[in-house]
Amino acid sequence: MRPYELTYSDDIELINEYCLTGNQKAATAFVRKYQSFVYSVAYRWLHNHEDSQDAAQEVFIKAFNNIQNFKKKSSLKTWLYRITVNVCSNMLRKKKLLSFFGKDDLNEHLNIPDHSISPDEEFENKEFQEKFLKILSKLPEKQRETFALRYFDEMSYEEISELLGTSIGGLKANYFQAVKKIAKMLKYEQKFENK
Amino acid sequence: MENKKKKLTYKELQEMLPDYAFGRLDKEGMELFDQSVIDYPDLQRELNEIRDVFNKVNEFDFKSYFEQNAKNISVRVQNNLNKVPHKFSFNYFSRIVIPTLGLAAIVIVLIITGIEKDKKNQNIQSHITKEYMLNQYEAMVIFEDLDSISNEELVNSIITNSMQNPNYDLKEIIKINDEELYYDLHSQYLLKLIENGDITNILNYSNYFFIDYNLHSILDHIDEEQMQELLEELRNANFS
Repeated sequence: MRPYELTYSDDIELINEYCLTGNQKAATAFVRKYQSFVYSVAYRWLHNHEDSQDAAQEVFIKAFNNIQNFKKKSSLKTWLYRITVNVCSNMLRKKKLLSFFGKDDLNEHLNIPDHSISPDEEFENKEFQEKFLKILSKLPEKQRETFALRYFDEMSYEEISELLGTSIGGLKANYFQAVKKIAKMLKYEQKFENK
Repeated sequence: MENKKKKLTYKELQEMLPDYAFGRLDKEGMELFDQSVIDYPDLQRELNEIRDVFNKVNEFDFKSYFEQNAKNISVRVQNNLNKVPHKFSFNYFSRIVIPTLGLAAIVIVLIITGIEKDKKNQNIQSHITKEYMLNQYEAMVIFEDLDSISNEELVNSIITNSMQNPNYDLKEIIKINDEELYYDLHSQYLLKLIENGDITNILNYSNYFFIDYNLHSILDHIDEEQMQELLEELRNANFS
């Protein structure tokens, strides 16, 4: 059990605490609870570490500034997902515009090393992560998001349906197609490596 | 017992396959899947392939990978939140207030310009109307160019205007030194009134008309029939 889980029993309590008192402890608990989720969503859209961190930061700032507008009809995760997708879309649009004028390279920040693990492990892991995330990025948006939200974030089909606006039957079909495609692509890569 | 009888369709099996492969089905779902998939060898093959390939993916802890990469976000957000009031107010002003005020100013300027333009147009219009009314005669008076137009044209123009516009003061306008033109104008005007059968105006005009007008000149222009009509009208008129 994480520290924020000891302090706040649910998201509503967390929001109320922040809205009423502006408590920094509540704000930190809120960010810690969802930072990994927001970062992973941003990473799937932006494909690089630095931009994903910037996007995640912007998402939380926006969330804090607009938390009074949160209707509590959907879950906080759903609300954050929508903000993240908006922020990432805007960032991608800006990047495309900058790259059009030659001010930014879209692949500039790729391959950022992660210093938290040993070099051998890092190399192997990094290689696999990159390979897998590259394959993931090749999937159509709906299939990619359905796969990631179900496989990584372990969300229920009902939650994903609310997020993506797709029926549960459609999501299940998307998930199956995504898994099938990833398996095929990984298998192909393995064959290619063995040769 | 029910599970043993019920079998899943091919489509249902496809939809459940990933969750089955990654162990995300409940016990009941797993059993149902196991019973049904036996009938579809291609799905079994697909399932084995997915399991083989995803073994490594399942081993890899993506969650901790993302957590690791996202770990300093809370600190960055906290630092930013402390700056937020200033940043927010700037953003608010630069992105909302300034453009709104600018837009409002442009709209106000456009409205004021539009109103002024309308007023100007109205003034021009009224001016044009006046000019139109007096155009021919005034122009001739101003440029002293009465010779360039025949008496007949001038008389017609003035009489037409005077008939169309009740405010047209014929007495003020007719200050012409040309005696022939002067009489011609009066006689033509009176004739028009007679032709229109406008007895009231004939009588009103006569107050002015008979002061310094040679009655003979008008009679020169009236034929016998018109004279008879005039006399008839005068007989019938009720002089109070």
